[in-house]
Amino acid sequence: MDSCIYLKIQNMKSKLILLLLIIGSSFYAQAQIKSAEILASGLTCSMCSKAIYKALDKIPFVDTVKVNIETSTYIVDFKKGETVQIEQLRDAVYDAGFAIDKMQLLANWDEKLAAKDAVFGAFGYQFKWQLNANKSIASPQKVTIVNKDVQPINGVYLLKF
Amino acid sequence: MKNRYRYGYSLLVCLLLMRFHLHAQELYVYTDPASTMPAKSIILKQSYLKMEGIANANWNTQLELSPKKNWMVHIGTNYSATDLYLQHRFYSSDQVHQHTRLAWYAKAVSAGATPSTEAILLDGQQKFWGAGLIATRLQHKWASSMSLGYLYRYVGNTTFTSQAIQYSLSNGLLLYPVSYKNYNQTNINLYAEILGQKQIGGTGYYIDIAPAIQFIFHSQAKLNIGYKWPIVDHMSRLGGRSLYISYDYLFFNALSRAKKPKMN
Repeated sequence: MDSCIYLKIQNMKSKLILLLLIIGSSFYAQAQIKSAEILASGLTCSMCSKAIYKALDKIPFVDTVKVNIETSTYIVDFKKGETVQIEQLRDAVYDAGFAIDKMQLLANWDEKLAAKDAVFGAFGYQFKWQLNANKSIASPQKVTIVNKDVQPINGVYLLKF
Repeated sequence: MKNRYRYGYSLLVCLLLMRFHLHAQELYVYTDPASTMPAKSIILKQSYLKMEGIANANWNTQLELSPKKNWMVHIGTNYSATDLYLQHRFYSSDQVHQHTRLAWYAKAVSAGATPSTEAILLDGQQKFWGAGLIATRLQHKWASSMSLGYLYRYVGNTTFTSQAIQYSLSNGLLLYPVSYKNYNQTNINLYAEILGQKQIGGTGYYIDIAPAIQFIFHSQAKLNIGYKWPIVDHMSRLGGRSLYISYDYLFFNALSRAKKPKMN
């Protein structure tokens, strides 16, 4: 009898652990940078544009790249569950021979409130909200990296939206 | 002679006027802009040069590499010479649809023939080296590039001067398409370049004008057709007038180790 109750408890424990793992993994999957919108600078021609496109497209965690050649805008979607490395996106554009005027990230953030000047960690990076006042964060929320040339300052990316 | 000037200047005026309606291009046919090719890429280029008064055409095969960001190397060869070109972009200021760039270059040509003209021939017929600076400005619908360089050739037992200054001024325009929609549109570009040389230690000099048309296929391959002729010519040289045709293909990321895994 005791052993039967013990087995049931063990079974419930296993189910609970499994449930927690599923919930945890779903949160992990949600908390990801979904896409980036990059406005490249220093180019007008389609050959130059294709150099950036090819450099972005070969990054392993990149799923698709949509481009507007006229505006030099690239929308980069990332593979689900993959870790996005902002510096790889940056290097792809600079190695192609051009620069980044603006990079925006679309992501599900763990926080619901962006506190003015708050520093926080997410997606393996340190971020700091550069806002005039506290703001609610939408899900997903598009943010702009303020740092010049998308270079972190003391390891911190400054964000605004 | 007057007609020659008139044609040259008319062409320049036309190009200057057209620039207000078209997009700029800086993929020049006769010169390199200060911009370097994409890092880790390779260009294979085959060119044909037919100079007036010379029976044999000059076929040149060239390999262009960009092993590192801001650096590029060209290695070329033809039946009588081998050439090496190195360029480093050391300044860039980029904004949306515009940039200012500066680069230095060095070029060396190894050839067996001894000089037979006052002009230092740049197309692979003489042994020389040179170095200089390139400045390029791209601003929406206007792109201009200029270069200034020093040339030194090996004159052997001849009495020719060994040193010269060379310079260039290049402008380019996109004729077609009017607006970009995808990478498969064929681009047609029109260029006008002024190429000059002035002896150091001598009085000889020349100024050539070189209009060219360029077709770009799939944003990856270029067909260039240019014709060069003198507008000022106070120097003995071979082939003052010449026809130049080249085709090159750009292999993006060819030197890159990281390969994206293919999706099933």
